[in-house]
Amino acid sequence: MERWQVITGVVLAYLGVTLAIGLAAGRRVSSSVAGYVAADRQFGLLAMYFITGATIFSAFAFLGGPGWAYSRGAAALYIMSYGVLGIAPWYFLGPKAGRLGRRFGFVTQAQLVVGRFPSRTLSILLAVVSVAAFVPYLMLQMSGAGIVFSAVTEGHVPFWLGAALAYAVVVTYVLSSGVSAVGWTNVFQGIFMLCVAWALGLYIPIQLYGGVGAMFERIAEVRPDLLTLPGLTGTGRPWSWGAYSSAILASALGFIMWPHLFMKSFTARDDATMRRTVMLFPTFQIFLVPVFLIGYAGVLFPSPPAAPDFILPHMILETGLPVLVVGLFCAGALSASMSTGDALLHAAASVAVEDGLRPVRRLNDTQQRFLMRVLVVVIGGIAFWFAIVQQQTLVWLLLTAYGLVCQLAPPVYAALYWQRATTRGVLAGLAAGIAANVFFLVRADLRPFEVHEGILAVVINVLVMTTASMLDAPQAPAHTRAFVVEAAAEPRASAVV
Amino acid sequence: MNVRAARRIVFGLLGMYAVFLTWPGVVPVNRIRPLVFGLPFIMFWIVLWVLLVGAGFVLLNAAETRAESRAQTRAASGAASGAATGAQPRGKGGA
Repeated sequence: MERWQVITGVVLAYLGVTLAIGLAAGRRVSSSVAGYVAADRQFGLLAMYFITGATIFSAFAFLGGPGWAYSRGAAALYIMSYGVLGIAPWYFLGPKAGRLGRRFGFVTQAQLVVGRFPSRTLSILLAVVSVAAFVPYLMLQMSGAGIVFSAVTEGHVPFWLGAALAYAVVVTYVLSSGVSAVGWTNVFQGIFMLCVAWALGLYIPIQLYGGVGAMFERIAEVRPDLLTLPGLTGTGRPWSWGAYSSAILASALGFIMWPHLFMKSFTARDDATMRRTVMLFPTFQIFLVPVFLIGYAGVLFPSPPAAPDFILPHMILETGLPVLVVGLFCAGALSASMSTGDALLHAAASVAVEDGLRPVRRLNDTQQRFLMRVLVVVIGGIAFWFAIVQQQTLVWLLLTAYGLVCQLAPPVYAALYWQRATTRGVLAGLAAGIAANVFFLVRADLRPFEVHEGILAVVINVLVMTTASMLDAPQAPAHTRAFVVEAAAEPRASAVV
Repeated sequence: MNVRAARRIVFGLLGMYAVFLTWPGVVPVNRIRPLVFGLPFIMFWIVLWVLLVGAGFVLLNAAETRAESRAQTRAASGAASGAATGAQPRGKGGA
């Protein structure tokens, strides 16, 4: 049997196991919207830990991370820096959102915001922003899967077929089991990607340089510019401190505002589970260390890859690793792609139905679940089409996505922490923030100190929201208390029982 | 440690994290040597802070869990004594 056939065999075995886990997971939950979208709010710590970690670390971490370390050096460290800062607020927001979800039946982020600020326009606007941010991100995951597949099989499995195979599995298990499939497959995929990353991250430097320290000694002699902050830009020029620092802050601000992540607050069994998920996240975050080691190992590698993002598959193939290891690497990279892609696909369909359609059309539970399943296929198809045919069109969307998601932060924080905020204020702020984000993206030259457009737009968002809310009549105190004060602690009654 | 103190530690750590990992706080430690565990110093520095914040959250979660279980036992014993005092007047009334 030829090398690529063995590799394909290993990967197919991995896909088979993932599919089986995904399909089996569905039997644990009720067939209802709360079951499909929030797993009946029954995820324990194991599922929550891996769903968080594996969702956050995407194909970008596995391919882009080494690519950044390889071509942009220490600039990559920004990716490691923002995660912890970004997830920290979830320790406080998550349990609060979860409590409100249990009380009012929320399963999405927009339902929480609109619960506090009732407005059909707001709900639809949030749904549009979410889906617009999801599709290009999902497209990236699919093309990551395609790249890995075609690289390690030396083109025997073409790009489109690789992406199609991996995502046929994802669509099947998301269709049948909803978020519980996302959760339980992520446990498997998360363990898998952690093991592969650590094993390769330590193996490659040792194999090529005799150790991690020896590797960095060599790089320090030849390319010291790659080892100190703020690193380089994509074109190889020094990056600016303003861009480096504000990229960390913008990413940290938007981090948990990604709706596919935030809505997992509603899947946790209880407060303690949610808190411990955040508490343990740094152990997952450290997973970037081996990922960067792999990228750095490529710096002095004799032959350059076709593009920086190919550095990992390139080295894997060139170092003559045993064929089984190459297969496992491929499966690990697919885990990273699929464990993010499934959450995105599931969230996009859920959000489109719950927040986009339901405000304008009355739907019963069965109809909602049916529509979600239809949308899983439709959105998956759209993202796949873009990945295969028209990747370039979505690049600008991808650039705007993070800044856009940052604009969700003021409404969410206001809903949970500021009693004086009003519906009109939040709407005005959100509209201004989105407009400002697009403006500073188009006119990047007007940004002071190259500060990230998302940060600038959030400042405008907050200013407009505050001013407009203060000018508006306040909301009823009983209503705001339920969100801001009462949700701050679990009701005593349940503690007694 | 009570919840408030633990919370203050976590906020303090997060604040320091933001300061020491971005410009200008990161500048003094932005160096390659000494290598620690084989990693360039700046990379080790970031890993160290990631773990420090994690440790802060471990403290805070422990404090909150303790406070919760204390509140629960208090509520349970409160309910029990409430039942006892509730029985008393009836007993008196019967006498």
